[in-house]
Amino acid sequence: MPIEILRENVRTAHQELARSINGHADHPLHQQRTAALDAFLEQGVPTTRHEEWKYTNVLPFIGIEYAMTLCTTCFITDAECARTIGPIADALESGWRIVLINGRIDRAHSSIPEHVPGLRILPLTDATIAADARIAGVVGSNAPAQSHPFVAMNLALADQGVVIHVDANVRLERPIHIACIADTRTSHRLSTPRIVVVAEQGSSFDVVESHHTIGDMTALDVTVAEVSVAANAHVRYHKVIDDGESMRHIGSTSADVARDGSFTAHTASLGGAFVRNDAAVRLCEPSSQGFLFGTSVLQGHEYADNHTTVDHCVPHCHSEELYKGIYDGSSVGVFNGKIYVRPQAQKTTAYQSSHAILLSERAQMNSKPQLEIWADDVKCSHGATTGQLDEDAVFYLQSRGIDAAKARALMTYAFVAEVIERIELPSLRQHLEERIAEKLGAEPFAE
Amino acid sequence: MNSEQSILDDVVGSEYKYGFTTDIEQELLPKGLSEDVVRFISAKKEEPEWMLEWRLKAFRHWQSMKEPTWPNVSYPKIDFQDIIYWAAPKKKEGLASLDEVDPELLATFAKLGIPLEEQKMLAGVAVDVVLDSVSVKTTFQDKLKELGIIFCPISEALRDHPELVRQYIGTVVPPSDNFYSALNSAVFSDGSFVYIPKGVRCPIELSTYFRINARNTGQFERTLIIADEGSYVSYLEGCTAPQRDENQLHAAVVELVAHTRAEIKYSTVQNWFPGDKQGNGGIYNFVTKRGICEGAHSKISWTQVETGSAITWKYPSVVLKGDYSIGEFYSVAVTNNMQQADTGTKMLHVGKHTRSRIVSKGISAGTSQNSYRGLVKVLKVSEGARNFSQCDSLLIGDACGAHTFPYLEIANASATVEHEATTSKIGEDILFYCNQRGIDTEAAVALIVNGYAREVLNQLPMEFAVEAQKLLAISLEGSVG
Repeated sequence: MPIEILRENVRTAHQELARSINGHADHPLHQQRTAALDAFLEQGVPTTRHEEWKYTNVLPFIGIEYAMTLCTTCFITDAECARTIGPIADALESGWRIVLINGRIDRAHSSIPEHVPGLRILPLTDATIAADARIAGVVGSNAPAQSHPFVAMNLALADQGVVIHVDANVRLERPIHIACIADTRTSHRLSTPRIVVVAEQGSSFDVVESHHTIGDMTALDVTVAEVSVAANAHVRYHKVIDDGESMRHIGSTSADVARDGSFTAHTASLGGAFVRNDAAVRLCEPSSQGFLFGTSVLQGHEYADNHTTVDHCVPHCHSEELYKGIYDGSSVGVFNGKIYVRPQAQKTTAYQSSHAILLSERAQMNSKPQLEIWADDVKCSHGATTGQLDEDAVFYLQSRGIDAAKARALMTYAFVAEVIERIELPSLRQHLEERIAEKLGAEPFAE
Repeated sequence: MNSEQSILDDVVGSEYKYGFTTDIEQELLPKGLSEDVVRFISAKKEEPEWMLEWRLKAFRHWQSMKEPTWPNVSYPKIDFQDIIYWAAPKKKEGLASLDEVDPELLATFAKLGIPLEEQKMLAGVAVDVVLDSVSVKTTFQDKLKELGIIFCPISEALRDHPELVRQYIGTVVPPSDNFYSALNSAVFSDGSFVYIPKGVRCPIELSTYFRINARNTGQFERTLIIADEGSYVSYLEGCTAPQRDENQLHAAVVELVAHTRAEIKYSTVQNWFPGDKQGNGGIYNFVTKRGICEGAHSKISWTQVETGSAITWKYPSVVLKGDYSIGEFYSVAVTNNMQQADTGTKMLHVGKHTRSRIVSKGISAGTSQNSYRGLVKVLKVSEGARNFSQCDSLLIGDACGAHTFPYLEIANASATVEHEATTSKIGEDILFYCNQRGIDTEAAVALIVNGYAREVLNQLPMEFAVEAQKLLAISLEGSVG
């Protein structure tokens, strides 16, 4: 029954979207939307009988009558905005900020850089697609609708997402911050932002995607990011999910990487009732590299499911994955990592590891690290552990005059610090250190 | 490069040496499966009424089930009506001594190197031999009887010890567990039954040798081993089949029950016909094996060397119910040519302070696909559970595949679970080092593969370890000395 409600909801929202674009139904973007709707309806809503959703049950929250159309009454004040995204925005000191409220760009609170050479930030509209074949080629190709029902749903309802285009050989000094705020004070919201990032040859930059909530009505956020990394370009994509207790987040970040390029994705799950995040990188040309990192710090009834896919299509590529999680209260963690090494992808090196600490008797962790290898001259490994804090080490710290609670916080923090340290953006690293320390009840640790 | 190529050629060129057929008088049932077939098998075995009911219930349940499609293997759909569910050597009344056994049959087992004859009993292994649907000979029975050990075909156990069979059959692998266990429960024809009484340490290795002989038949055997409090048994299982160009189905069920402080060690050397190098023929080995550590401090250990079968689909599992119980799984799975294997284990931690250890070594060559699939599940009630898993894959040749699908589900914070896996080929630097020390490439590969599998081979009982090493050598001829 909830499945039918969601299907009907999406179908209706798609029809309304079609009406709102005034007879441009033949436009390429809209045709993609329509194809994606068909893909969504065909795939159906996954249940725990689907292998990819074995541990993760979406049924409890998809049967809600979500409001999906443009919210005319959603208006947040400067003070509310500052309170919500202030800490991370201040930490980043970027000044380049796109604020999305319920999936749509809010120009009042954004400060979109307009005259930076080589950088274009555009709304994802029919006009943008029509004007630029390169961008049009990326939409729906890195994260195809057939791959995942919620990715299909996102594309079926894609309206006013964000497109970031960086010209060849441009290195951006400042990170581009995309802040997604869900305003759930007046209605159950479903937002479907789509973010498209195109990095031309030799460019290098950071993107920070952060998620926040105002209000406490159950809301669903389905965010899809597609990244195209051209030859010798380097993109670092940081995702910070710091939602409120009413939020359910289903996200996907996928990248294609060309020769000598690299893509780094870091996902921090720090809050939200439910987080499902799929990070995927496809290494399409030789000598490309993919790095996927993740941290989850959960408490209470929070839930985080990290799915990763690294697809080695060609020889001489390298990938690394490191996911760490701390689970307290009744929180549940899932890690499902896949590494594919295609038959021709010789000389591949691929390493994956996932580690979890359960702090409470009620916490749970499910891991499924997977290797699928069709080439022989490769070095691949994965490791997964689930355990608890080393009481001997805690005792050692106590014997040095650090009290037990502090010792535990220190140890827990040190556990995830291994991932945080890999973040190359100092301002974000510091923000996450503070935020995690706060959540763990530890004092922030100086660098 | 040349020598590597010639090694590979040798690998692909190696032959299956147990591919002969035995020409003995057979009693066959027509192809197809229906309630009548189930009734026929049950009647043929002179089974009690409750057993027939049990079989029919399983059969009806099977009819409502769908063939599983989740394993990482591909094969044409099996027509379950195109299989003979009953084949047996013609029965002669009252076999008193070996002299009365069909000489063709004796020759068969002589070829397989199984010590059936009396003088070979000095080899110290009690053997139950199952040819197609029936058990043909069990040795050493009298000696074991003195200790109170029951070791006999399961059909005989149903006749002589129905209360024991009834108490345990289907308790570890219920008929409704999966598609093939339901099928097996409906049509199983024979298999071994072992009961070790309290406090008895079985002095010799018990062994069953399975052979599929007849054409178009499926083999469905059922093994049930019960180790009562404080007992110990080591059980070996071996299997071969003739070389035929059609696929044959083997769907067995093995159930182990270990009571308080009992230990069961179950070793398999599986060498069903793997099919030729084009992938014609071979056995589909779809087996359900599970043991339960019922009592505290009990232990079940699975060791398997998988070299045969066109497709292997099996997950010997342990339910660690008793506190402080231990489950182990050691596996070497070798696939060559067009073989496919999807094998692994399940360790279910229920009791407190339970421990499990998984060591899986996959070797893929030719164009074969080798998957490890394992589940480690720690329930909320299982305090202080400990697991260590290691699954390594070795790739020989650039057209084969190695896959791992481990599932770790941990619901208790006091659990410590570790899993690690590596995939690689034999390093050129390692080969070069061996060459440098005067070991030629072939011997070096042999050395490395043997060393790679040693951790598992060491777990096998002496008699089997030798056979297993030879098997590895045949399966990967050229790359193993």
